Amino acid sequence: MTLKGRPLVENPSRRRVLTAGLAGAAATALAGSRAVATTPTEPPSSGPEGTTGATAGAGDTGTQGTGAEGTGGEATPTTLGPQRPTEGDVALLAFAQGAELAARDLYAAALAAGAAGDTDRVLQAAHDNHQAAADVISALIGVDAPHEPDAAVVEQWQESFESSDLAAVAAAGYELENTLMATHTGLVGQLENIDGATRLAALVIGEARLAPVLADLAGNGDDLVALFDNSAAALTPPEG
Amino acid sequence: MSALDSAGPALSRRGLLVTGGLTVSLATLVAACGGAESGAPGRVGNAPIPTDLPTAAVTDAVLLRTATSLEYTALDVYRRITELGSLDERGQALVARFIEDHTRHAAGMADLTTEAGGEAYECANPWFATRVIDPLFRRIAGDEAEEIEPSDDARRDALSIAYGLESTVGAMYQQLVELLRDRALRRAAITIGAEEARHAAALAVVRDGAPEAYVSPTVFGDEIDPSDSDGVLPLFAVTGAFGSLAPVEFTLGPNNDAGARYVATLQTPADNSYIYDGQTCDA
Repeated sequence: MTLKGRPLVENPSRRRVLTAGLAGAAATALAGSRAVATTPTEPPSSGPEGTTGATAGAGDTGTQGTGAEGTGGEATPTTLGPQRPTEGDVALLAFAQGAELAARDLYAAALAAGAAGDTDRVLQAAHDNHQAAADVISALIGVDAPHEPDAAVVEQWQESFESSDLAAVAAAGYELENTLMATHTGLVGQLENIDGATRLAALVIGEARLAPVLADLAGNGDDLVALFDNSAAALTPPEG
Repeated sequence: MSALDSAGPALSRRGLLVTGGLTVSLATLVAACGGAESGAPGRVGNAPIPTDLPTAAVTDAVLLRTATSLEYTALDVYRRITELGSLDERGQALVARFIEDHTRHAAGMADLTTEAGGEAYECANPWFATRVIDPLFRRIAGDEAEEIEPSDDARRDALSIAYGLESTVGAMYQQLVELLRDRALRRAAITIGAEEARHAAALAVVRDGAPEAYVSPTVFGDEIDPSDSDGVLPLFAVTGAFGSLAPVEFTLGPNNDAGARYVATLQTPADNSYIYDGQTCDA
């Protein structure tokens, strides 16, 4: 019974109207979703100075528009991991930041000792790049960022960097960069959060381009092993 | 009785609701049935009905097959550079080393493809080969039919092509870290990417000399002015704190009548240059 004292079945037309309306709305929604081919994906992230979604091509040699190879590609459904760094990721990224800040301080020590002289810009670039790397990691882990250099790393290389001999500092820097590359490469394989892995991968590439320059500055520019091989051991991240 | 009263049967509330409900239901039915074809032009004649291309998933195996194809592309580039015979002893020593490295990388990527459940693709990337690499080498050899002048410095341009390729392949591996689902594969990708980045840095120094080619002025916020080097874009080993996924640009060939050189641009692989499952080649 309704408040007006009529049986609920007394007005079947209104019920049918409501049912038909709901069914119609559902059918419309279904039709609409059928016509839109979307794949929910994790928002793409980019390297700090990079862009994503780049397409293959070369100058005026053509652009990618329609299936050149006849294989219509489709957006990759990506389920690449947690959107935020996990607790374990935060520890690993904090460790990476400590190493980067230690490198920054070591190059600062070399610059203060006069290793760069009046002309060299490599040491200054290395110093600035490691500061930029630490900043990027801060952006990833926010208040959990330690903002402290890894004391063990500073202690291990300090004596080699506190020198006015550019070649000697470059040789030490070469070893340090190879060590950081090995460390970050290992972390890329451990991080669950894709943004963290992506940022560290970008760091690895940046440091990889610096290492041959330091080898050349150290007088090993004709040594192909020094230029292209990295046999350095990775720093050990904290347990847990 | 008024005129309105005699116009026809009275419109009761029940009748109004029934009519409204039927109208809504019919409208939604029509919308559901006809939405996909709305706006499509009518067909005239006997043209075959177009069929959609098959969709292809970009899996880890597809990404690894593509990486392998870029390694073979690099090997093809170094074969062609060697055939040009324009490099000095130091440049050719680098090329010999790079051939060893890319051969190892190709084998590694092929093995990882198999482990990821895919079929290894052990050929150069066809999209890059025809649309990217061939036109680059025409800028060195020249092409009378297309009115392309031969290079005024084949050594410089061969090293530029190698630099552009190594930078691009390194960027591809960096990008794979973002795309691959398997964390172990991400690590493998960036390990090789770092080697390609070292190749690129060494090529910059060999082409443009030290210390000029060590660090890009852009690292310190300064600009690059190609007019300082007769229109040739300088190459640099260190271009920033991070690897970039932006297109790699370099100049090739002589100055044209306007005093400008051809600017080539290389970009990382994407949908049309991926090597999808089912694509085969004669290795």
